[in-house]
Amino acid sequence: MAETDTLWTLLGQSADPAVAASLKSLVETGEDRSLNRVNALAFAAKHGHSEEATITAMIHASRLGLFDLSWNVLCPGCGGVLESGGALRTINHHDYFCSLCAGSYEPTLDELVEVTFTVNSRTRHIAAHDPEGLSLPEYVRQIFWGSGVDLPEDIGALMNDLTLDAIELAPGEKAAMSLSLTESFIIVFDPVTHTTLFVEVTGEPTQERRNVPLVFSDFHAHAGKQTLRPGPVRFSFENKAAKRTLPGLWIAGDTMHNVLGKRRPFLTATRLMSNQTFRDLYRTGTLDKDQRFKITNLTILFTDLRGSTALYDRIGDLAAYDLVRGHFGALLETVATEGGAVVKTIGDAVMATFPTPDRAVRAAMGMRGAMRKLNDARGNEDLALNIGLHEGPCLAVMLDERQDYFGQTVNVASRVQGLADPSAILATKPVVEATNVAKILSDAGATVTPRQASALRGVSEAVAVYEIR
Amino acid sequence: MAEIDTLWTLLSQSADPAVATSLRSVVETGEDIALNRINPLVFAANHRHDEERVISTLVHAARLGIFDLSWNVLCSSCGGVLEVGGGLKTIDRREYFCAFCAQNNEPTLDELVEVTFTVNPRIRRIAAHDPEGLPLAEYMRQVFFGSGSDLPDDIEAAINAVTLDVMDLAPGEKAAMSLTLPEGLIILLDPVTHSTLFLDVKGEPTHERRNVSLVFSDLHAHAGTLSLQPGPARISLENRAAKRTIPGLWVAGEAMHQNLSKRRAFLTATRLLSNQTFRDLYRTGTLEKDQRFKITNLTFLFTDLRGSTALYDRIGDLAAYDLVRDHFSALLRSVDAEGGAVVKTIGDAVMATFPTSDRAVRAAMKMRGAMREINGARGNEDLALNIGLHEGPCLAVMLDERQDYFGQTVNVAARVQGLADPSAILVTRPIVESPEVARLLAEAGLDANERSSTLRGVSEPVSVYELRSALGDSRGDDSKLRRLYA
Repeated sequence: MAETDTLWTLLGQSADPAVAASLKSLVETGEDRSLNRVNALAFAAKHGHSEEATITAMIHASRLGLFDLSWNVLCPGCGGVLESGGALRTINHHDYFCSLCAGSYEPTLDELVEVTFTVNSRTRHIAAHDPEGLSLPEYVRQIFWGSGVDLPEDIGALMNDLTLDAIELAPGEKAAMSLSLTESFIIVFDPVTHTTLFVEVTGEPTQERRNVPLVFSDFHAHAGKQTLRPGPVRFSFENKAAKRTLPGLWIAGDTMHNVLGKRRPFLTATRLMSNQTFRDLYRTGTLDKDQRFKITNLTILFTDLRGSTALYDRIGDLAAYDLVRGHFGALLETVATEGGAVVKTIGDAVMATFPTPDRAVRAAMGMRGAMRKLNDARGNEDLALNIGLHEGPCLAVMLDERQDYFGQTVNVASRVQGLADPSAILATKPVVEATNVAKILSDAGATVTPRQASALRGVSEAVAVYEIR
Repeated sequence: MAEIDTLWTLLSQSADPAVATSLRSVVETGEDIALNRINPLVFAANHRHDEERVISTLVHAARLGIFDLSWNVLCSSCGGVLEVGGGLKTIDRREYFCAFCAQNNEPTLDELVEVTFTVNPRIRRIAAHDPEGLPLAEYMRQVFFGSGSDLPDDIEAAINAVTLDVMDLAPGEKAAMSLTLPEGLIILLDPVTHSTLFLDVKGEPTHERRNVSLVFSDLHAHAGTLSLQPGPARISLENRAAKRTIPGLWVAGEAMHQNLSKRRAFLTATRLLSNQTFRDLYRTGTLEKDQRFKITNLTFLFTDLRGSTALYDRIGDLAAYDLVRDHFSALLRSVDAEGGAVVKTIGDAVMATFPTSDRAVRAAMKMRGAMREINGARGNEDLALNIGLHEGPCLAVMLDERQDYFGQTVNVAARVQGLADPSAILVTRPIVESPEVARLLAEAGLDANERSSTLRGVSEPVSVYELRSALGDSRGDDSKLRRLYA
């Protein structure tokens, strides 16, 4: 216990103390399920904390071992978790199959990989640490579905509406379910092994008892679809999996669609990887050397110090180095404040990523302010930034032993920065047109003007560039 | 013992097996002194191995714990070791004072910091692991002087020839030396505490006995110069240091210079930092965040993939990524083969360093060959490199949690690369003026043509040269190169 106290003290020192206090009180007095797969954004909203402070505190808490961070591949159809790993490197399939939705999906990091935090079993043991002991309702809530599905408090009542019948089968056990089916679409579904059989009940009712066998094994399996006439049916189940299974007959009706349709925002892998604290604390080891993930949308910001070569010439390497380091420090702080992360520095240049364009625009404006401050303190105008922003799809990869990003979006962002001068921040059309950006710019009294069409070398598509000043 | 066998097996698997075998045989049968502060370049020459392989194998051996790697700050004048550290991190002073030479030395990484390898005591215990037990001659050879001093085999005789008297003083002990001082500069030196007193003996000889006293403490100290007439003197010594000391009176004459000032090449810190194996195995933790070291001269090579943006456009991100990665590994191999190291990749660009400019030029030529091979295999011309080289002074620093380099030389090298196109390798004047590079270009049939260009932001004009085949055929260097590396 004394050891855990030390960890909480450390957390309060290294992260936001208010968030740390909320987390501690939750761990000490909260319900078990509120400590399983914590959705950082929902937690922030519920406890009135900022999202960034919450995410950062949870990263620190994981690094300290109070929580376990997990990366879950989600099905875009049902929001179910198709794979869960302690590190992104365990997510090594090209695509993941959801048997409930009968579809295969590529795990894009900004849409289909979520990051959740579960209390470490040494910190507090909760029911979800032994998933085999969870009831069907709690199993689907705590294990099957991801943190982006907004489930009602009373999940037991919901499950009664959702299922005709359900049963628990130990490994090796057999069972049967006899019932009379009316016209409907039934999904025979075991959430543990992700096994499904679709049954469409339609046509002329019959009195004949039909037999439908289904075997559960350790693999996600979609047993296809059967069409049956309404009337008596006997489902025979056999559990050949190594775990207990929870087969049930789910009604694919409005209730189910309502449940699956209610979503809430969750912490995406992309957003976590664009968090400075995450990059600092989990610097290496996020991806394997040969892994690459698609990201549908990432905002990339490049800066470069104007006239640095002339500056080194004038003040010498040593003084220039100290100045450049001061400038890096200021930029890093600005990026972290806006929930972004510096991917790398290149000479005097910085490459940073942000989960959304509005944060990147705010960071760009903050950077210009920070340079003005440094210049004022030094009584000169040595530091001026050329800043360029672009947003689009890219690949998350490991390059040169660090987690990096690759693709035309990165190239274009760098090219746009190359066109910039310190008089304006340059941003492409997708950035300028993104949610909240117009408001941020008008609040800041900034004007946006399209730049004389300038083709970017090597880029076939015309890229519209705007000047923000 | 079984555990040590495992280490040797690991070593020959991860490094050059022939070098590993030589190292093992020295560890098992060599003299103690052969295992103390091994100079990798001398080891390579003695055992007829390639220098790069010996360096890489010793780096692996150090990583496995068979040897201990140490960074030694040297005095530019006497070649003595002023400070020893297990990491560059411990070399944190701007200047190191040599009491023997009475001068300050700034530890520039390519001139005054050497890297040596001593067998780990768990692998084999050698006399130098207990320096307090070494007699003066061996102390001087194994602890005082660095691996760049080429000392006579019979060091004892050499030292006897240039010392008037020597004593061994335990901590707290006092002693006196009575002798007749001859004319000349006599240095009272204790090599353990690096304490000295200079005696400038000149003028009319006298019969009067003079008293001189010196106290040794744990700090390097130069007690100044005393002028004395030749004749009898009594030198009182007191050891207040925590270690035993070995004070002696050294005659700073021709003989001392001849015996002790012969130098040989050694592994500089810069060269180790520019070794790919070292960078791979000791990636982080070489320098502290706020440390910065001057390097007098380092060669920088920058490459960039021509038209990569158009390439991504045409073949898509995924295919481009695989191609760019293949290109990176080919470049890494070319750099590694020439004893250089990739500092970082930047998009499709590579920044690499080399200890000498001829190796950088050779790596640049190999890189072009490697790209032709990949293109040949793919049946297109997708990969072409813009390559630029420059050499000069810079700072070794930690930036963004990796060991990096900083300064105008780096900027200029990047700018020169920016001027390049795939038809020629661009280099600056200091590169083409190196005699080794001139020889290499002649062998490879390459001409260096000056190109008129000024670099933006650089006040001093920088002359840039294009290296291309003397036959005017951009591939002319290829066949000759193949012969050169066959």
